[in-house]
Amino acid sequence: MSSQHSYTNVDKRLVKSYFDSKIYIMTETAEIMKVNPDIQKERDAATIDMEELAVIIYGKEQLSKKRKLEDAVFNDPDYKCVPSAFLSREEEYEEGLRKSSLAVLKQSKLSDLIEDHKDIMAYNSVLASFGYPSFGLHQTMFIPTLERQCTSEQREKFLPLCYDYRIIGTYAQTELGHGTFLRGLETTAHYDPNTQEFILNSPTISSIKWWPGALGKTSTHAVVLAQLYTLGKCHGIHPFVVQLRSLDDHKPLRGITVGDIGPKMGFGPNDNGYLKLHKHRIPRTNMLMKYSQVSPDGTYTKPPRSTLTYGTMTFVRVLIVHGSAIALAKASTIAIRYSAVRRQSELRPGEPEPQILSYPTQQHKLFPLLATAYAFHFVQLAMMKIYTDVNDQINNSNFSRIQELHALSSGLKAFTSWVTNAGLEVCRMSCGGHGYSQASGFPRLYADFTPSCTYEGENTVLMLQSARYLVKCVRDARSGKTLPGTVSYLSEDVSAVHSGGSSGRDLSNLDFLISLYKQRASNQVHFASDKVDRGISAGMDLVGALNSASVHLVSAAKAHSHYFIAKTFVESLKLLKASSELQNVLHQLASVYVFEGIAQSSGDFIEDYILSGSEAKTIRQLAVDLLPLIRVNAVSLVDAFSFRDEVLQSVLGRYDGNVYENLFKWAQNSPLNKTDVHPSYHKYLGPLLKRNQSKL
Amino acid sequence: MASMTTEMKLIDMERKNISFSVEELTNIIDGSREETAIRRRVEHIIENDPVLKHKSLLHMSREERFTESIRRTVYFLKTLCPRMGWTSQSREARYFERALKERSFVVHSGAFVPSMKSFGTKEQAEKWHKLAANLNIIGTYAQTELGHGTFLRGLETVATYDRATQEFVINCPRISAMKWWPGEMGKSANHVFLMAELVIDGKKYGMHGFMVQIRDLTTHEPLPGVTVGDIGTKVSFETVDNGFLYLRSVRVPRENLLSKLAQVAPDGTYTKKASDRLMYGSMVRLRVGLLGSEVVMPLSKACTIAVRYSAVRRQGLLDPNKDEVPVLNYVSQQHKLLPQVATAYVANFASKQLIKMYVIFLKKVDSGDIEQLPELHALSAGLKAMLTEQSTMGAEILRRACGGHGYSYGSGLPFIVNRMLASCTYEGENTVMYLQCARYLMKCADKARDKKLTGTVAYLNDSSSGVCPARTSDDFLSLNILMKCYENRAKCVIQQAASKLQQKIRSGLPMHNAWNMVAPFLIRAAKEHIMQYLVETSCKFVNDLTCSDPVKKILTQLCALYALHHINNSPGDFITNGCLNSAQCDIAHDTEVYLLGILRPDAVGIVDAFDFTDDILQSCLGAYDGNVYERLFEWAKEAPMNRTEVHQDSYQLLRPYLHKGRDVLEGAAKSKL
Repeated sequence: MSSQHSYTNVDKRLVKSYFDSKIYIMTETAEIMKVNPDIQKERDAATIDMEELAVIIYGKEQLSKKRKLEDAVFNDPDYKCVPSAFLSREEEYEEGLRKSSLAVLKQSKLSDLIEDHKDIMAYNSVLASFGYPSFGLHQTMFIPTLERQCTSEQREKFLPLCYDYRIIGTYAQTELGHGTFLRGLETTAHYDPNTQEFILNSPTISSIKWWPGALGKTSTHAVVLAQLYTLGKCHGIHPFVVQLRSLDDHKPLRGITVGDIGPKMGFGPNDNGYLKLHKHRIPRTNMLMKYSQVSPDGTYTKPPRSTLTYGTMTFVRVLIVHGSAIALAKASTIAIRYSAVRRQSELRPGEPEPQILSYPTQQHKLFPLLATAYAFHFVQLAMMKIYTDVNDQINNSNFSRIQELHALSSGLKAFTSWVTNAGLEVCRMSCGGHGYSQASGFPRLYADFTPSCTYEGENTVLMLQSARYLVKCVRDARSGKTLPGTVSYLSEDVSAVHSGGSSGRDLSNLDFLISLYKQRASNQVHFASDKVDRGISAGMDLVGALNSASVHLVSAAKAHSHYFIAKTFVESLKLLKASSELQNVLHQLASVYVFEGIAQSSGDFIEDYILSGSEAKTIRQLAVDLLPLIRVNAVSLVDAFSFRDEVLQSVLGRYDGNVYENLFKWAQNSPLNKTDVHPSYHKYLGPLLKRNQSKL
Repeated sequence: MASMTTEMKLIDMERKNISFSVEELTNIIDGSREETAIRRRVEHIIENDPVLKHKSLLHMSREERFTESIRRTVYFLKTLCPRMGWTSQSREARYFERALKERSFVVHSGAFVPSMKSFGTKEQAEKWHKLAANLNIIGTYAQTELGHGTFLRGLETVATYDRATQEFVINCPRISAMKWWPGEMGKSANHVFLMAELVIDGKKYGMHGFMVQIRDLTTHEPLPGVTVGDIGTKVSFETVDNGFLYLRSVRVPRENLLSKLAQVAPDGTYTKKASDRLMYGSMVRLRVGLLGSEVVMPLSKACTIAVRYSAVRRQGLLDPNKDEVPVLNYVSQQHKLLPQVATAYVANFASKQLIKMYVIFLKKVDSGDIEQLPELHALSAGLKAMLTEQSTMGAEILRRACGGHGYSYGSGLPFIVNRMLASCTYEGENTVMYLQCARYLMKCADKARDKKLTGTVAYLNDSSSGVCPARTSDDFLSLNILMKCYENRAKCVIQQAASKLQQKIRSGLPMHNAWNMVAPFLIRAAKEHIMQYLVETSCKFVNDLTCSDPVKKILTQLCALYALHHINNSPGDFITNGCLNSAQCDIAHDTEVYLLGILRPDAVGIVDAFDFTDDILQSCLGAYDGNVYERLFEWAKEAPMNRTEVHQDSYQLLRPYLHKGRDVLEGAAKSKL
């Protein structure tokens, strides 16, 4: 990296604060810090081998590569910076861009570690801990869209430029007025046969493109989704490559108004942007024409199948399921490590204060979430496998499972992101007041995660889409059709299988309990489906009937996802090759997940007579009974997620457990602490305080 | 924004179809027509004062917010209030915070100033109270430490009496003893009211309050032995310099021990003067006050924003042959929004009742009667936990109900949600609050056998738990039936927890051990008790209200919605305990969905009644006129990132690559720089 642009303002501040920093820290704590004995004790007492579990989670090769890449990045002083909590929005943006540019340059020097596409993904996920969104959309949306939808001439023209960062692009779909409902987008592209150009326009204020990442200040190009008009007819949404900024001086081109949409809860480094197009002309060849075409004279040719364009969205939803697993694993790591070193209150008068991890109430908050993190991990693996299988089928022109995949990924995306969103808050609050400080890492973790509930398909809408498919399956089953894999149970008659309270039922048997989840899902789907049918027979049209039953439809889709997750967790463990002790402990986790799932929605099970009230109580108790057993390995179970301190970015979740010393060190970075007397004192406080001072 | 946009027309139409008088409902929320008038006057004066004007809070850096807030607060307290004749005692005072949106010195005036009187002797109060009240000294309440929060007795800061000099020597013996979190301590305060363990001749006497000066009164520099600063960024509270304070051998005179409850004589003799229980009184006061300003108000704001936005946001088709519909028409959206609106009303009525109870209690305290303290303490702890939990969750649901735009600061919702998040852990962590409430309930469960309970637990006297008679949706719209449901469930769950606790004790476990083991059940007992209180209080409030029929109808429906929503959220609890059967739960569910449809046409009116001005809401999505998109665009254009078309600092990083792109796309002719 040439020196002229490696030394940014943020660097200067870092260097300055490094030399200026006043040494507050007291001599008695300045000694070299050892691992906190409380957390060491937890690790020593564990019955499982943490490394064995880490290998199971990541795979042996992947784990070692991940560690090497992390060493390469985190030991590199070029990436060092003050904690992001102390940067202004603009500094965050600039710092993100600095690191992103740096990473592009350094990638070529890591060629022995980065060999294929998988390694690049691993490299990017290491960099993601810096908040690495600057070229995120360029890589995950702009390039893949071009790869998928360009003709061969278009590929030759655009792709080499993209790969070398000679143009930087984003994907501009969402508008001020429309997000999840694609057909409602208002941006227009009118074809002008005289000049063989498209004229792009934002006809209303609500049609301004809004939210696309890196659109505001970074990108030179965008794939813009717009309603295509040619020869006086509208043909729906199509993608166009639009240059936004001059490649000379980066100024917006004529007819283009582009900027940053202002601060959000999270994603500070990302310049999510707006884009207003006014009679902006682009060549005909900038429409992506692999599937549909406009010829020079304006004749339109339709794509062979409309569902093909859903591919990208499904893939992103699968990634969000993975993202949920990771976010929850991070939150559990922070909360459980901190709970191991935080001591509070008296349990027995006169004895030392216990670690808060010893309180059943704390265990009851955290362990079910730890189990959920593991459940989501196995689910994302299973989901990715289904995605790959279906994709292979599609490439062989077999489209039979597209709908199933779409429904499953929609439901799981919504289910896992909702659960994780709520779980992150539980973990934060379980750390008491310190969880509210940016030092805990929770605020940022939450702020960056929570849009998963609303982006890439708003969760409720996704649940309703998933439910709509399930309702259709019920009809198909009634008309004698065979249902595919994940929904085949809907054609089974489960109502007769179980009824709550009958004797001899083994409530600790997971396979048996999974069959109850199945029964609940089946009942709920049939119940919602009947509601829709009744609405129709009462004279409503299908849409009206679906809307009036929508609360039940969402419950049904949730129950379906929940069943899939519980089942996948339990079945994945059966296939696992692991030492018997590890098997045993993972089985405890699966049990807590399954028990708690029932305890938390016991109403569903009892209302439908799947369980009796007293059985539900027994299961609730079984979950509580497991907590002290899980306690033994809790710290090792989170250690196995193998998040380095640099990735967690949490003072409370530090591996060495030395939280208090480091909270204090961290706070000294606060800009308010640059001087002992803040400048505002001289302007406001000083004059105020001194008026009547003689009295003291 | 000259002509009416589609969005403006949509919200206009909503308002034309409202079935009740919004103004009447506003008066009920405020307490009376007169109160509404006072509030509006305060808001009008503050909003139109040129000195109090500010740019969008949402575009300022933390440091700007901090300084700007001090500027506005100093002007408000020292110039505007004297000019208007307003004091902290005037009727106007309760609206200052709402109208100012954010202000500094809240801990100073809310905790430091009153503590002079509650903990100090008459002479001590005279010395410090007036200086503090006039902002001639600025102080804070320094209790929480790095290592300890809710568990007071674990605090580690010590004050050792030195007989030779008649001084206390104050020390933080280890890093976890450092004071951490107190608001306004980092940069503003020059005094603290410090909680520390009193030690005389090696003997510990427990927590006591000391007045400690921490900064020089002329230069504002920290005094020798004092290390003080800001604890860094948090989720919210940008204007507050929450601080750390590390004290090493800081000496204060003997008179600086606030001595209303206990005193130390010059020779070191310690005398206890009054019950520590009085200290609980001030915690109750804080919790009671918190419900209005940190729960009811922000939740009402969030409801206003989300409902108005949902009325103008059109998305998707309900009928394939018609136009897109406002998202408020979707039942799934109503199911997210309206229960939160109901919660805002219920929380409003319940906190009003709590304040009433507290005022009566205060009168009794003056005559030495503190018999009601345990009940009030348990109730305020439980309500604090339940309402902060429900409303932070509710506000987050509302934020997400606004889709992507809810995630932008421009919606105003992150600002509201982030601030509320803290309420679940400050002023007593919620789990601990529930357990404190449960402790009282367990005592009551014992006494219930003698049927002598009164007040909020009187319902426990009657141990029978009748079966719910509801057969139809109409039955479930009856507030009396709903109140009974909750009463029955609370009774069952409390009795169950009590018998679980007894079982453990009978099996030979010591009390503290038994208590810990059944804690999850105790928490449930406390929660059901508080839910019972919330449902009963709000239903009775509405039943007793004198108002027009349409308003009464709306409020009755909101109470029913609240009660039904929570039945449907956890029907298992009602069924397990025999309070409801499966068929009844089904009807309850249908009734909730039915209510959503009934309330839908009045939704905008119901939130309009909260009567927030656009200035107070600070939201592009929630503004009264519904013109959301133009507002968002105007707001974004003000962002500091948009000051220049090209963001130069960052563009320098990209230029070398992008010029190569230019060379390819536009030919090499232009390539030489």
